[in-house]
This record gives sequence, structure tokens and C-alpha cells, in this order.
Amino acid sequence: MQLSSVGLAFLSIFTGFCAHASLGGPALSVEHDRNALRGQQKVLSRHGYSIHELTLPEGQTVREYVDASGTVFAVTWQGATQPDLSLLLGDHFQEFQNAQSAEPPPGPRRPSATTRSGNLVVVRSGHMRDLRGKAYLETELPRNLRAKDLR
Amino acid sequence: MRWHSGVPAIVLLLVSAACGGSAGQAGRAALPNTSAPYLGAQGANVLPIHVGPASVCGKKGYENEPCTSVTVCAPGTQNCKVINDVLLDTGSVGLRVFSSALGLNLPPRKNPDGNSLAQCAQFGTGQDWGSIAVADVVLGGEPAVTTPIQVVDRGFAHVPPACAQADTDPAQAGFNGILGLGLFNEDCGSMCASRSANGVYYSCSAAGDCKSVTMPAPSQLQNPVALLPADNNGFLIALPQIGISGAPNASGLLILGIGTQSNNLPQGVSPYHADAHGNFTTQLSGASITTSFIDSGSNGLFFPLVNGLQDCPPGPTMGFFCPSGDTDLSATTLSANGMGSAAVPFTVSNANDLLSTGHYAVSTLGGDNSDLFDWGLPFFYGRAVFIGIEGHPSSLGTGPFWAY
Repeated sequence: MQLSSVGLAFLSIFTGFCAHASLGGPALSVEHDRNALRGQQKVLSRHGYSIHELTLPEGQTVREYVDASGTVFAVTWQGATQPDLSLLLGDHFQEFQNAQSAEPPPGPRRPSATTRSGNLVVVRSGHMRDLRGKAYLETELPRNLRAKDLR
Repeated sequence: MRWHSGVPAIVLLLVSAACGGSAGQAGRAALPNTSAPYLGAQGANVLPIHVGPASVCGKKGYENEPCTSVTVCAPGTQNCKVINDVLLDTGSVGLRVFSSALGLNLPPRKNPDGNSLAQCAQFGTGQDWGSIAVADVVLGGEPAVTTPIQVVDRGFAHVPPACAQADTDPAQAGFNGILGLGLFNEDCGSMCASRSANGVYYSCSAAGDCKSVTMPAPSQLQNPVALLPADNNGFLIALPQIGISGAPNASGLLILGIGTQSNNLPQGVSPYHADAHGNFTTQLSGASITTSFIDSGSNGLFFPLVNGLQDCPPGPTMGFFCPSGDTDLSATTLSANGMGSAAVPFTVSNANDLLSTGHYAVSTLGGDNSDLFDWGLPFFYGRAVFIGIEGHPSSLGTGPFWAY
């Protein structure tokens, strides 16, 4: 029973993402997040933007960066496995897929693997059991936030 | 210290302070050389490691790639194949061999629903896709162990979107396979045991449609060292010291077991424990980097940009550091259990200068990652690095830990 309830929690979280909070889309409402995450969400206010931090079951963390108009301009993730990027990237996922298929596999192990397509940047790094990444819309970053500071 | 005159004095002062006095005026900090006593080891628990050009490993542009050989057999038979040019990776768990390099028919692992099992192995920057099969794996002269392995093949079934960047073949990847001997008993752990949407284990129908499924830990790819009848509590990697300008190649040893034989007794090392994710903490220039790990499968030291370093300009070395001169730094690694810390001096050289030498064993290759501290292969040169596997006791404690 414990396993199936964890699975359901995940399903609802990512269904929520799919519908409301993918990159470039409007922010998930705080109340929706709280319901989906059973109180495991917190919102950090910054000058000109906010960070909605979602702590998922088994320790995965997803952060959505939301600008003053309520649009998600960056998403970061960290956890034992990589979340479904089609859900996190939303309308930008196909663009990401196209950019990936146009470039060779990373091959030699590098500091990080970066995929660029126009305004979209996706960076992945980490190691097995602790994978991390970030996706952001380069021209949408607030002036007081550098890409390297997206966590 | 060798500094180019262009380095601002303030940077010099800051970096000197960060070195904590370990580097004197006369020269850079003396690096430890704890590997020497182990480099002549012999025995059934010893496997050679080679860094540098070989038939598949050490391809152009792939420096610091430690490779070894393993023997894979159909279970319970003498039908075996020696697989050379296998990347030795302490950052992952499990044996993965390209189908094209295997040339053996191994029994496939089936899901309870009768479908074939496959895996999208997720590394920090790479992926491998392929089916799961059962094999007898022989490390050195040790007894064979039976374990699921991954048969790497992008042509298997329909590759799911999560694995779109999977390696295509040995020539592209730079290895025939990956021998993952990390800190843990199995590759994915509890996440894949409890969550079907893990994006790692898949059940694939005869039509080639694959969906992610749960996989109990004992059915996941296993750490072959942990399965050995003896010598199963961990291992050590010994690579020789490499000078500041690198070397054309390097040879070292993988020695299985910790304190189980006369050739693997810990000498001059202390344990530093990892957390459940395989991380400990590294402090650098006043910052505490909690995603920090030691990984022979990473070919450089990857960490956030600090004063004294700069990123390489766009080109083949983009992502690496290109400081104006050899830059001495010091970091402190902290055990995840709060017991013990170690100052680790290291040097970062200009990657363009370093790689133009054609050297494949380079101890001063660094690169920029703002999110973590990845102690890649340069950390291993001149050190005996012990790795204790989770739950296995040894004279250094119970894993998961690194000791150096």
C-alpha cells in the first residue's frame, strides 16, 4: 500500500506540472502545490522573482523560478533519477528533443552536458543516484540572476 | 608558486590564504603519494588499469580515461569472452557492455509480465540504453559472480525519450563497456524499487514499446565486487603520481577487497563517509559544496569557478578551465557522518596548453560546474583511493565511504 500511495503522489505532482507549471507557462498556484505535495512546498521571494521549491517523495527536489508576471522562466531538478523532462519543459520539450537529436551524444565525460536551442538552455550533470539539471529561457532571466546561480 | 604576472595581487593573496599554509614560498604543496606501496601488487584480486590510447579507450580528446578488462560468460558455462577497453567507473554501479563488443548470447531478463527488461542508465552527462541479461562476470582471477548486466544497444526496442542521448557504439563512446564499481550494492536503489516512473528500468513488449517499471533492488544491476565470496567489502585504485605537465599514459591497479589480503591492507589513509546519495561535502574558497563526490569516470576536477581561474574560450575545451598559469588551490573534504576532514591541495592548469601536449594522463585538468564538486580521475594520481561498499564492514569502517 505504501508503494502505491507514493506512486499516486507522484502522478498528481507531475500531472500538476503538465497542466500548470512547465517552463514558459504560468506558475502553479501555491495552493495547488500545497495540496499536491502535502505541505512540502515552500516559496522563496526574491527581488523581481520567486522560487517555488517542491520537495518530492524520496528526496527529489524541483524548483520553478517565476517572474513578476507569474511566468516560469527556469526549472531546476535534483534527485536519484531524472524527472520526466517532457513534463517539466512543457511546450519546450519538443525543441529540446530536436536539439538533442541534432547533436552527438556527449561521449567523453564532461563537467556538464549542455543543450542549446535558440532561447532554451538545458544543462545536466551529477552522477548515478544524484542527477541534477536546469532548464531556462536565456533572455527571460532577471538581470539580478545569473544562470550559474539557478539551483 | 608559478604565477603569471597578469594575475592580480589580490587574487594571489586570496588563493594563498585558501591554501592554509600548506604551500610554501619555495614551491607547490607536496602531493601525497600513497599509491606507491600498492603498485607492485599481484594476486587473483588484482586487475590492471590503463590510461591512454588503446584500441577503443583513450581516443583523441578523451584524456584521463581509466580502462580495464573483464571476462563475461554465459551463466554456468565456459562460453566466455574477454572484454577489453572497459571504463572503470566509481561513479556508477553495474557492468554495461556494448552488444557489438559482447558477441555472446546471454539469457535475457524478463519482467513478470513476460516482456523483456531494458534500462536507460543515467550518468551525470551520458546515457546508455539496452536490454538486461544475466551473465557470469569474472574480475581478475576471482571466482565468477552471476549478475544482471546491461547489453548496451540503441537498436534494442524503441528508445524512450528519456534516453535520447544514449551512446551509439564503442567508437563514439570511447569504451566497449563500463564497469561500475561505486559505493553501493546495486545501481538505482530504493527509488527504482518503489517508483514505476523512475525512467531507468523499462519493460519492453515484443513490438518494442517500452514503459518504465519498478525493479526490486536484488534484481537491479549489482556491484560485482559486492558479490564476491571474499574480497567483497570494497576495493582500492592505485595510480602513479603524474607531474604537472602530465604523461603520455599511465598504468595502475584495481585491487579488490579491503584488508582481506596482504596486498590490500590500508596504509596511510583515513575514511570519509558518503551519504545515501553518494555525496560528501567539499569546502572551497569559503563555499560549502554539499554535492561532492569522487568519480574515476569523470575525466577532470569539476567545481565552481573561483578567483584565479577562468573558463576556456569556445572551442574543443569549452567547459574546462583555462587559467593564465598553473593555479594552486586547496579544498577540504568533509565526511558525511561528521567524522573527519582532509585538506586536499590540487593544481589546475590551462586546458588548452595541457591538451595540446597530446598527454592522456593529466593531473591538473579542471572544469566549471557551478552546482557540485566532482573529484574526477586527477584526484586518483599518486593516491591509493579505497572505496567501501555500503553495508560491508572492513578495518576502515562500514561503507559507503572513500578512504585516502
